[in-house]
Amino acid sequence: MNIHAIGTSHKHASLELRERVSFSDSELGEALDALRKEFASEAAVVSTCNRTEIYLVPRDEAFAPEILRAWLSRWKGVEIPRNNLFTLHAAGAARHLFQVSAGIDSQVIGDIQIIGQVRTAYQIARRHGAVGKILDRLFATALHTGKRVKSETDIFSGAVSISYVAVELARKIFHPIANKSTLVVGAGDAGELAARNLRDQGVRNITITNRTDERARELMGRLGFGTWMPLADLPSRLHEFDIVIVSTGSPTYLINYADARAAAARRQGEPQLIVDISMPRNVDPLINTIPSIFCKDLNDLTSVVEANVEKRRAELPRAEMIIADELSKFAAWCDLLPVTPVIAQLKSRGEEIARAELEKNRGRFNPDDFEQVERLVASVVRKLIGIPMRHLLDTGGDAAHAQAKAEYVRMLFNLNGDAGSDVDPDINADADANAGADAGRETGHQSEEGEPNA
Amino acid sequence: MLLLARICENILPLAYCAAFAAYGFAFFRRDDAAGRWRRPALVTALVLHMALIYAQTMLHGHCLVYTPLEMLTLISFTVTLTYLIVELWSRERGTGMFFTGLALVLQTISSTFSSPLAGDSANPVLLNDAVGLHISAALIGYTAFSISAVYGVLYLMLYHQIRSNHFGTFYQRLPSLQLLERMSEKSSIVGVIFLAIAIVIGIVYLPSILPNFSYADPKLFVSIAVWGIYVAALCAKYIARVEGRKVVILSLVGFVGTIVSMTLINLVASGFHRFQ
Repeated sequence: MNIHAIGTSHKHASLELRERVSFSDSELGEALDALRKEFASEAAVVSTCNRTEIYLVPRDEAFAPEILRAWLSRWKGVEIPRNNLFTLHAAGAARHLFQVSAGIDSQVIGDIQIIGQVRTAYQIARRHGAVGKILDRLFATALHTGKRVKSETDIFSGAVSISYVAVELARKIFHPIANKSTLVVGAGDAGELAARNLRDQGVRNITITNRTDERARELMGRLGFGTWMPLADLPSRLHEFDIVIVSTGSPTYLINYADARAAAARRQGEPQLIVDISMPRNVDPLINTIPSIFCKDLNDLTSVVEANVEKRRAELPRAEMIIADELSKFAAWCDLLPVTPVIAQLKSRGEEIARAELEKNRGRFNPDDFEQVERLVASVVRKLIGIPMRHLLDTGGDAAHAQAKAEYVRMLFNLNGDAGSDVDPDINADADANAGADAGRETGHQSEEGEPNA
Repeated sequence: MLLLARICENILPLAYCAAFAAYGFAFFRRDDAAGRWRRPALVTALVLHMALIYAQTMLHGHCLVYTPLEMLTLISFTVTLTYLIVELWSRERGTGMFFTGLALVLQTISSTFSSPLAGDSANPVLLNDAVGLHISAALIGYTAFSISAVYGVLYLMLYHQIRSNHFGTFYQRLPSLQLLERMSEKSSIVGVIFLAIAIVIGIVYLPSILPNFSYADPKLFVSIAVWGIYVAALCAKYIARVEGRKVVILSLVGFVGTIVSMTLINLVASGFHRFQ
């Protein structure tokens, strides 16, 4: 498989460099066109905040990754040191994309967004006609691998950011969370992130309060939703909120035990979640002794994050097994690439000869008999072609040997034309002709029936 | 029919065991195959259970209410059926292991100690419609209390995990506290309504049907006491606005009280409530 990958990520380069080499969606089309114009027969670019990776199938067999590195430097107008880039080839490149798609190469293991980002990269490349059969299969398999890892392991489960742990906690207490009223105390980054996460969960009733009203209103402007409440109203209106997220720089408690107790009494047994992600704490920890209030501080949430990270790490071997499985299927598919045009030509040649002979002798049969003769001839042709086809499909994992066999069959049957040269290896070979070469592949890709046996 | 009843009675615990294992594997290990097979396993157990109830009813000529063991198999069936309906309705499968577990225990006890012909010497009074209604209402009531208890236990487990910052498997897999609390409450309401019907029918009609009827029957006392506890729990929730955990605990007290007192009564006491 002649696939090259070059790129950089949080593992190889600083944020500054990553920012400089990243591609915006609008820039991608032009870049893909340029890559194809210069040296690629197929190309795709995965560009996120943490990584920029170019995958390509070169037109020239003797392609060197250095060419791509030079192109990237030229295109982005930045000198990229060699040690800030990785270059991968063949199975290494495929494995890397599968690992990226499975979320195990992310800065935070199991970053769920990565599957969507790989899918977007794939769709953009397809839209610009930059994807051929190899990258099409590579990306489809990568996405399938990501889905398998998501459904068969716990690598994407359990929140690993403080603000998301708070939201997950709220989801474990309230039902349905979307109807719950939420108060965000503090207009800093953590408060903003928590508000956004809650919004993503469908929470619409979000109130924001802050020591300086101006910052609270600024945050509301950035978020595009929320209502404002003066901080002075916090004690008297605490009971109105099901979820309270506190994240300020205040050196003293903003919610004390007496206020919380009064709020609990007014809530008449309805549960309330108070999450304090401030340092130092802004919520009196004694509040946790009130039965209807769940009060969690940074310590509690950090322990959850650490436990979840550990759980995700423990799932890595299972994810790697899935990747290895998908990689072996992909490699087997690639091994068949040299023989598939020959198989298509062989089928086409056989059918062509049969058709010519039948036409020549059409007058010798009445229409009913002719139909039977047509079926008979087609069956004989399928069976005859089936013998060399079986040999071709049995690559034994040796691409060079497969190539040699393909050449031999091409020579033997005088197959010099181009017919079917771009046929996908997923040949839906006739059962008679292709006995024993059944697909057996379960990648779940679209239109992937009858793949030749690996 | 006898053969069918015997086969079903022996296979049924295994079928519930398979369903319990499938839900358990899916719950603890997120096993894909178990996830796919859990509902078919549950439906298979239910179909077998229906076959058993049909065969035994045909054998006896009326429904299975003669003995506590027969009641157990009916409660096991209704718990499972109710859970399946809840699962289809809410698409929430995180609690299936607990309900199939309960059904497995009840059915295993019933299958182990009963025989298909156990009820042949039953009291003919059971053929009376009012008695049939009384027994059916009581059965639904106690089944609802069983379901409420399962949700209640799950609520307390999840509550404890959240309180103690022990965010383990139950935290990951169970539905939210409020949902568990609501399911427990709704089941309690159903139980209270049906047990009330059973008690009223019992007090109003049974004296005229049963010659040895006594208002001092221990089962009557226990039923009224249990009903009272559940009503108190619901009043605590909806009138006194008591916090959910306390209501759940009160309901569980009612359920444990039911099990303990009914077991004791069946072991030591005798009265008109014995139909054999």
